[in-house]
Parts: sequence; C-alpha cells; structure tokens
Amino acid sequence: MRVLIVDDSSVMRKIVERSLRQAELAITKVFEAGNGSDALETLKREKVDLILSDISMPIMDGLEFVKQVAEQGIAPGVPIVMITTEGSESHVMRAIACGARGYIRKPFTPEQVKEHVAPLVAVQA
Amino acid sequence: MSGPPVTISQQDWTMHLAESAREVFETMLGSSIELQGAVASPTEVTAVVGLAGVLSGNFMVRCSQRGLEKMGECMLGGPVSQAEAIDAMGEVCNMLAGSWKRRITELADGCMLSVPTVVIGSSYQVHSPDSQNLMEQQFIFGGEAVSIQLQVQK
Repeated sequence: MRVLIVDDSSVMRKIVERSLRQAELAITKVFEAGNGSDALETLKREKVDLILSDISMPIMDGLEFVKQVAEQGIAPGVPIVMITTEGSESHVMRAIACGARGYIRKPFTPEQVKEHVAPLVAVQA
Repeated sequence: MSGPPVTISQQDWTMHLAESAREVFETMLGSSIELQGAVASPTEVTAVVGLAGVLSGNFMVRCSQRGLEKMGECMLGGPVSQAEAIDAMGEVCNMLAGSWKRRITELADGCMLSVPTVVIGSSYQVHSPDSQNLMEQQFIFGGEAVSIQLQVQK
C-alpha cells in the first residue's frame, strides 16, 4: 500500500508511519508533505492508496486540501483520513463534509490507527 | 466562531490538564508522569500554542534542555537531533492543548489553536497583552520537571 502522510511536523509524520507499520497495514511506499499545497503536487505525480492528513498546517490546511482533492479530481476514490488535535464534533463533521472518510484524534495509538484505516483500505482492495 | 467569553476555573484547569497530560505522555511518549506542587519553573525551553475565540491566551509547556531531548527521544524511540526535539515538543504542546480543550464543552468548538512555536534560551519571560492570570501545573517526566501554563487574556 502506498501512503501519503501530510503534516507540518516531520516528527508526527514519522510517528504516523510507524503507527501504520505497527498496525501491520502492508505499507510499501510512504510519501510525505508538510502542507496541503505540497500534498496536492505529490498527488499529481504519484499514485497512492491512502492519505492521512493533519488539519492545522501553514500554506494550505487539511480541510482545504481535502476540498481541493475533490474539486480537482485528484486521487479519485482514495480514502483520506484526518489525524489532528482539533477533535470536536463540528471539526469532524466539517472534515467529513469536505470529503474525509475518517478522523483520528491526537494523541493516538497504533491500534486506533488500524481501527480507522483498515476498513477503508480493505474496501478498496 | 463566536459566543460569550469563557472563564476557566482552577478546578477545570487542574483536573482536565492532569488527565490530558497523562493521556499525551502515556500514549505518545510511552511515559508516566508524576504531578507535583509548585517549584521553580524550568525556563530553558518554552513551547507556545495560542488560543483564540471564547477563550484567548497562550497555552505553554516549559522544560529544561534535557527535558526537551527526552521528549524527542521518547516520541521517536531513539536519539534525536535538536531540530527533531524541538518539533516533538511543539507537537506535545499542541496535543496537550487540544486534549485539554476537548474536555471543556464550551471550548471544544469555540476556541481554536494556533500552530506551536518553540522558544529556546535563558533569562526570558513570556507576556501577553492584558493577561488576566497564569495557571500552572507542574509534573515530573523522566526525572525532568515540566511546567504547563495557561495565560488567559482579560
């Protein structure tokens, strides 16, 4: 599975990757981006099977990124899961309304990542 | 985002912050913490997340250089560069603020967080305009003192 991880923190990107591998999700390639704009550029060049994105990022935040993925028709059908500290119900609903298929609140365990991600990639397969 | 300003009681602060600190440090750093009473705050490193909305102010985490390094090492599971340690501490501050905010109903939707900023040095103080009060909780993490502070604007 090819994954794009979008977060302005390089430490958090490493932790998300580690959690995906600990969740035994058969990761074959990881792409990283520090903001939504860079993530869009990556998606125009590379095919991925899963996207995990923070919300609060400079240049382009996660909600705008998800909206742009849908509006530009990039990565059709690829599930996007938000991983973020902003975890209120209204934030979750806004993320889903923008096109996200899941939402994980920080802090998180590998088990929580697996619980949210595994059903989405299993459906794809 | 609008609504009447929210007042945070010492009880709200202390109780919810202790829960948040345990959640963040145990989940993401794999480390327990010990709450402790007021002692001199460590001041070598300060991470700041701004709060805006029904509550405005600064949420800060302060520790020593060694505490900073420990946070990075615990989050990444090994030796880290100074840049990685700073990044890790910013994320710890971000997660603490977010976890604490979520536990207070009035803040969950009514208060936004800024991206974290980390300041390193000595002999500095952090001031915000019209700060009303400073609430502080300290704990021990891996043998190092950590202080979490909330400065609320009037």
